[in-house]
Amino acid sequence: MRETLRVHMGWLHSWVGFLAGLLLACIFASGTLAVFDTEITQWMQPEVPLRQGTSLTPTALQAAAQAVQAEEENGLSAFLTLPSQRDPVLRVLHYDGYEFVGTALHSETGAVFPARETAAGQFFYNFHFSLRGGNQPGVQIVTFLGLCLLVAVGSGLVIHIRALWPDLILFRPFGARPRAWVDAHLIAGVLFLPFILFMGYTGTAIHARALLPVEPFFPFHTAAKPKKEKTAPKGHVLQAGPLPPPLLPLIAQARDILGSPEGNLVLFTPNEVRIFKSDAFGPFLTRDHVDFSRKDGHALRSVTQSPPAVATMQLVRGLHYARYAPLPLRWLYFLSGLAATSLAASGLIVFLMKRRRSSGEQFFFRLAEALTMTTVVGFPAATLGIFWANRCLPVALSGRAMIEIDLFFAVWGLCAAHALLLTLTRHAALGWRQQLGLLAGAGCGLPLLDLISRSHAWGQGASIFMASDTLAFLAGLIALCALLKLREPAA
Amino acid sequence: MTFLLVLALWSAAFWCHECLQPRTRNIFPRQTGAVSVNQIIRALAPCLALPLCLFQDPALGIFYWLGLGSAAGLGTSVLMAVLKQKRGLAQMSKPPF
Repeated sequence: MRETLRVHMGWLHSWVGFLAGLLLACIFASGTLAVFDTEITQWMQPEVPLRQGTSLTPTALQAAAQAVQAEEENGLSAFLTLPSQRDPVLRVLHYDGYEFVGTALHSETGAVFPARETAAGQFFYNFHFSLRGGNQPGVQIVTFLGLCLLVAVGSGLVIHIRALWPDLILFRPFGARPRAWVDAHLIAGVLFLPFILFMGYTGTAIHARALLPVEPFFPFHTAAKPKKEKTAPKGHVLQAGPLPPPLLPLIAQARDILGSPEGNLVLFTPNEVRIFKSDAFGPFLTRDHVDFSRKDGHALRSVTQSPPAVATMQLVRGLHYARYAPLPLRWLYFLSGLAATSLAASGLIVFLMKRRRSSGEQFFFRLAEALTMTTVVGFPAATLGIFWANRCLPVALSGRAMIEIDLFFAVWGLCAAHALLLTLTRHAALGWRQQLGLLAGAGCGLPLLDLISRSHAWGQGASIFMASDTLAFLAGLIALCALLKLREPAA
Repeated sequence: MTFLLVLALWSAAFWCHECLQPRTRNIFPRQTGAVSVNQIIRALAPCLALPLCLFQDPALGIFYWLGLGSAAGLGTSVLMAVLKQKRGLAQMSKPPF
């Protein structure tokens, strides 16, 4: 009975794990990068100095308010992010349908930094929860994959439950190749199980409504819908409001009420100025805010209490987004994200290894291998491609952010086409070697490119540039090691 | 400093856990007393690490405890694999499938 259950669970784990894992690996990888989305944006905008304080001046806020009004006159709903320790810049942002993009201002003089247009940090964040496919079908697909992840983890636990405790840290990388990959899969899955379960569950819960909408599936059973008021599409406004009153006293008052001394969000409606609590202060993503009149600046209301059910959801969001996390904890999130990515990637490879002997000649096996190659090597190569594009494209190029993202998808698409071509013509090993070579070159070459581009001084924000370059170099090095290992005959 | 200590405690617990497994115990024979010491460290080290994490950061201590535990497990498993390889014992494993 128990063995039958294990066999059934093995089948479920293999197929759900493989089919969902092809995209889950990319979702894990982009989520891992999104932990440092602000830092990636800083790497990608080297023109913005990072040595300012978090203090604000009326001049800077006045400049920001004028920039917001100018955006509104163009039909865009702009908002401010106030400087924080993590991002010591005053930013005027708007939603472009996918990412929050905009200009960076000096927090004391209000001068606009001539920073290059980029969306990269935000791009990985958006890709993580929607595959850049919007609410429908992007978020729906990712939420469904979250459910698949929970099924795969549950079935994996049933398969491995007997060996879970004795083989807790068993790893044999120098053993036979399949054994080493299975061990890598198990080590990543078992040691980081709390993180993977937690992130899988919270991620699915956050967007559960994408799969289970509040509206009934059969609208004809319900009463007639109330007439909707005319609303602007997300990220847009129907009409520009007046120039807001001086913001500094409003911010000081809101900070006292919210207990949030920096990094707040300031949103504008035609009649109100809403100042939100920063996400960095506590694991609850509260959206507490204080509202002021946009005409004369008098306080209208403050929203600082949430009912228990809402507070639970705020905690779920807060823990998943990790915006509250101090730097050491963010690195632990990052490491755990890498482990989750390795879990998915090694699972894909184990799936292929187990079937290569019996089904290696079949079309569907070769298709599966091409898709695996596209995920395991193509996605990191495309990710590095966006970093290369950021340094290689001219700084003042118009529509630069979109070109970077287009290049990401172009590189990924080319990797997919290359993988398909070579696997379908029975040259899969060559395909792996060539793509790993590309990845190794892109990763190891990025620090050099950053150095010779002379886009920034190494004195300020050096840790961000050095950490990013080092991680890219390490990714290249791992690809190089894998490439060299592939040249050896299998053990 | 506290986090390094927590990492060390977790690593010690994982190390002792692996030393207690028959596959490793047969390879590295120990005295009878060492088994008890390993069992005690395996049980106590994570328990000691938890209050240290909570003392360092009462709100987020549990996340540090779990995260550092995972990282220590990963590090110890790689270290153990390298040591076993050095002693030429890597092949002493179960068949892959």
